[in-house]
Amino acid sequence: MDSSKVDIDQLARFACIRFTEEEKAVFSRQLQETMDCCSKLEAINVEGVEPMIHAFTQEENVWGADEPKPCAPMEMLAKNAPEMKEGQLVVPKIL
Amino acid sequence: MKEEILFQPLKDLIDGLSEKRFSSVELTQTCIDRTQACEPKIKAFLSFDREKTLAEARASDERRSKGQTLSELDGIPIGLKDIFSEKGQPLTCASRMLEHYVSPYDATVVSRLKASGMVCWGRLNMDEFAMGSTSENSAFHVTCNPWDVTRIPGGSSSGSAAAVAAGEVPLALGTDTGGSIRQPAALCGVVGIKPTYGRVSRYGIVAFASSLDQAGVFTRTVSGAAQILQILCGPDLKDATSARRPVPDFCAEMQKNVGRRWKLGVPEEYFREGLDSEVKQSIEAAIDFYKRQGYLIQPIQLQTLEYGIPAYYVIASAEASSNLARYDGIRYTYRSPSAKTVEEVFARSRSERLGPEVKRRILLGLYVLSSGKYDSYFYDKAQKVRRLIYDDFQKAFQSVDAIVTPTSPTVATKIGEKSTPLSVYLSDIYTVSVSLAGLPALSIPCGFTASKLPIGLQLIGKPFEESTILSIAEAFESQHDYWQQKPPL
Amino acid sequence: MDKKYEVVIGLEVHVQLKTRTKLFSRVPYFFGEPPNTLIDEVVLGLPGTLPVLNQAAVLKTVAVGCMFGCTIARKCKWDRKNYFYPDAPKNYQISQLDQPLCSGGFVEIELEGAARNLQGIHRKVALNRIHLEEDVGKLTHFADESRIDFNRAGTPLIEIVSEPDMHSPEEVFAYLKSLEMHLRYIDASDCDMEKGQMRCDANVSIRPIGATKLGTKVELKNLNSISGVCNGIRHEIQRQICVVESGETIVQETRRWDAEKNTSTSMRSKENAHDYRYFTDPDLFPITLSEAQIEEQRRSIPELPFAKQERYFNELHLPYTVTSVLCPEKSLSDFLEATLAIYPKNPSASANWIANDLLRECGHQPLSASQVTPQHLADLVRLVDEGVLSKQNAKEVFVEVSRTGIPPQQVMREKGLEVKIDHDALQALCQEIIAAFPKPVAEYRAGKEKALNVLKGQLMKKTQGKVPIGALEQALIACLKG
Repeated sequence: MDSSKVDIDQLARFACIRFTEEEKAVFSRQLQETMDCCSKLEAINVEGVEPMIHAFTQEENVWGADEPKPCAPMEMLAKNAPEMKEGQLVVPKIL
Repeated sequence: MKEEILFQPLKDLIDGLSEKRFSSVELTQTCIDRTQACEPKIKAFLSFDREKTLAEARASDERRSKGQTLSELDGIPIGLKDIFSEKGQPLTCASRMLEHYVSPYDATVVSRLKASGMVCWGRLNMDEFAMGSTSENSAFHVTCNPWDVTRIPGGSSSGSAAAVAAGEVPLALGTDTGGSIRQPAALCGVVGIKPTYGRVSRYGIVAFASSLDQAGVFTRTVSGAAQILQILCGPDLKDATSARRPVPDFCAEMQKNVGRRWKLGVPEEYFREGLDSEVKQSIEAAIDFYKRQGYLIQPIQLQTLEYGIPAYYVIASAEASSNLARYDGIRYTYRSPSAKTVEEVFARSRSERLGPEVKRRILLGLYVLSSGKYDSYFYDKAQKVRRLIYDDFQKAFQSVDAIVTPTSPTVATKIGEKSTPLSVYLSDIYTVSVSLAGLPALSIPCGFTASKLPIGLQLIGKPFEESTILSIAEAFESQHDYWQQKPPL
Repeated sequence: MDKKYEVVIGLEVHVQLKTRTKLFSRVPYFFGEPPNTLIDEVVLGLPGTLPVLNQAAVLKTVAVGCMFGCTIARKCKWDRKNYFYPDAPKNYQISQLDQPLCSGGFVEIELEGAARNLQGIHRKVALNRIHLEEDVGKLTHFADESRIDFNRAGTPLIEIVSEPDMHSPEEVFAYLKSLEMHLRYIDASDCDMEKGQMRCDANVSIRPIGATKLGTKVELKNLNSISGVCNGIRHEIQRQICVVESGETIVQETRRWDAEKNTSTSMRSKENAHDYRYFTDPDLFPITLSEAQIEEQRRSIPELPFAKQERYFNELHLPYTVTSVLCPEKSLSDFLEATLAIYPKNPSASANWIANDLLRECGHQPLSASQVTPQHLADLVRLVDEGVLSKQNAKEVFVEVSRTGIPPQQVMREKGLEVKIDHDALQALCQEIIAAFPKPVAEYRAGKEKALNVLKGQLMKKTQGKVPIGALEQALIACLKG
């Protein structure tokens, strides 16, 4: 893994997190260190190996019948929402 | 009522309730009193709701007086890591991001506890969003190890392990993604089991790494763990990744297995450099015990051990970076009051309220998902390596029934002792491979260091064979008194 | 369009699948409910929630794929498309990246004919893929803020991606009309663009005629109606031609169409393109479809509108003006076929009744709300054919049947509309005409059936159209034979 390419600004943008210059320096260095450790993976021969997303497989498809169940009250949203108006969640204006 | 009861096996509590030697309210009040006495030193809890808990205990006593108990565990108090949704209760994941969030629904495991009449007592501390192994990443406070309050309790299920060890609650739920049940259990000297991935529904448990997260329990004794697991395990229609397969009667299986001499694998890779000498001695003594009991001890190879850490951190961080995107200040989390635009709501809320370790993992996850030959190249690579690790275990299990290893390379370290994030990551070496392979594993107390710090023994089982490791663990526990020792509080 | 350039257009069409519940939660979905009432913890993406796939959504997508001749995946997985936007509850969307449920296939389109009564040219537009994904919530913008309604969040969407295989706004129009017709035909979606049930993005490029390499493509968004799509594309083609003609190069970008101002503005260039960091969703297992399951969906596909139209031309000899009304609407062609199953003799009459009178009586109501049954229509057509009811009176009977649901025979009798024929007088008239026109009589008797028409015409003149043709014919033939 070529960890020299760590682009902290791009990652911060993806993460929707802002960092100060000092934070950027610290996080870059720590990320670099971790990636150096993770670079061990590069050397492993995985030819013909299927990725393993789950450690077991389900015999049958896991899906549900298209049968409606009751909805939750609007309270489920309203209770923790920062701001609501007329049943809708309010956010700053999107241009 | 004496707090002694809180250090007894679960069976004694069940008997006490059923023989009406004490009521659920009395037992619960004892927990509350003990918690109040210990908390200034231990700080295992993030919050508790006395009235709610006592109301649940009263309801249990009422059921019992009418002969309508829901299960033999009706009325037993249990603590919850602050990662399990409990309707009407705070759910913070030890993050300032969710500081004021109240969950509007019950996790499947919480529903199951309630359906069994159990009394939920308190919200237990953890590393923020389960990322860490010390509790130092909690946004609220560090939990102390009851055996030495200057030391970490392990993590991320820090409060769960410490509360059970300190006798604040007889049982607690935790979650384990890369060792977050087993390692704190080892460091606090209690029993901790992570069942096979898929055994316990993840519905209502805040996700860290979806393909690895698994709920489990902390108890004083192995049989207690088996009894709680019986309630927790089983398919759930709300979790597509919960295993659609029957759950055996764990206690009955253990009964059947008494006296059985198992084949135990001892992977030499787990006993090399980095392993504390006192820990090593203690584990070897335990292995020796099994040998004397007539178990077949077989050296095995698990050469993929060294791949575990990198594969784990790539996979867990990638999944986490996506799972934690929903904490954005829009719908239910903290919203930065200074945000003027939607972009600022995202960026300021997240920057202000996510802790440094969480930010590190998110950055790592985004890095592995966005670099390489294509999206998720490194994630896919790590998932392939994961299969190699799984195959490695499968091969070993062709000749042995279970694998014995240390749970943690060291005992509890001093609070603030570990300096870099990477050095903390590396201490997960014995637990992460098991998580990647989705195997059931537990940690039981198997000794103490000279300075009286607990040491944990890890037993790893075949997929869905929790009964085997429970049986093997109980065989050890029944001949030792480590579980009976109380921390000096 | 400019003769110097070839236009190349590919469409990405999102269509809301008509299931009862959402894609990953069993919360129901309807259009137009009060905001944030069709929700639960899964729809809102609350901490700890997990998706459970809707079987019907998968099978409906498979059915759509079968209808369009796609290859159906035997195994498919679910991927997370990661991006921050306030209408996405989890800040990722569960979608399918590299194992879509359907790939390949085509959509047959019918271009507008030279006149209303003429069938246009048919061609096949190649499809790239069809995959299933979850929808996001709906944002509404106010003066100082935006508001979010999560009712729509999590509803199943299929994304139908065409190959860059269309070459004019007219083809795009025909393509969208065909998609709409076919998807409604199997009840996969209502495809109402105003309700957001069908949304369209277009990739447009131009290249000099004869060039083989595709030009730089521009993605057009916010095309909210079928005519909006065509106007937007027409405008974009002109814009690109202007750019090229003025010696500049086209920039790969995404542009937003503004239907009111009839113009488009740049949203983002390629450099700022999204990085979605797709990866397999670990909350879901892959789905395996057996050959039998796929075959079951394939068998569920009825005869499709264009094939039906061909059959109606060839077997029933119906004109395009009628087939173009009946074939796109399954309820109409089903009605016709049910009518013909009862009374197969006069398909043209039955088809005309449906295409004109029945549709007019229904107005905006669905056919199922009408009182008229295929049995009624069959009876009505037979009554006319048998000369019991005149065509003129049949209209009156039809209106009454459609209002009351009373069978036509009964209406006819109650209203006294039954043809009362003075058979003696009619026979006398026939004899008169036979005597007056020996030539056609001789021809008819020699086996030339058409000669009867001349006699019939004379007879109609004499009876002033008051006697049904069927009765005239019967009487005439009887006399000729006698």
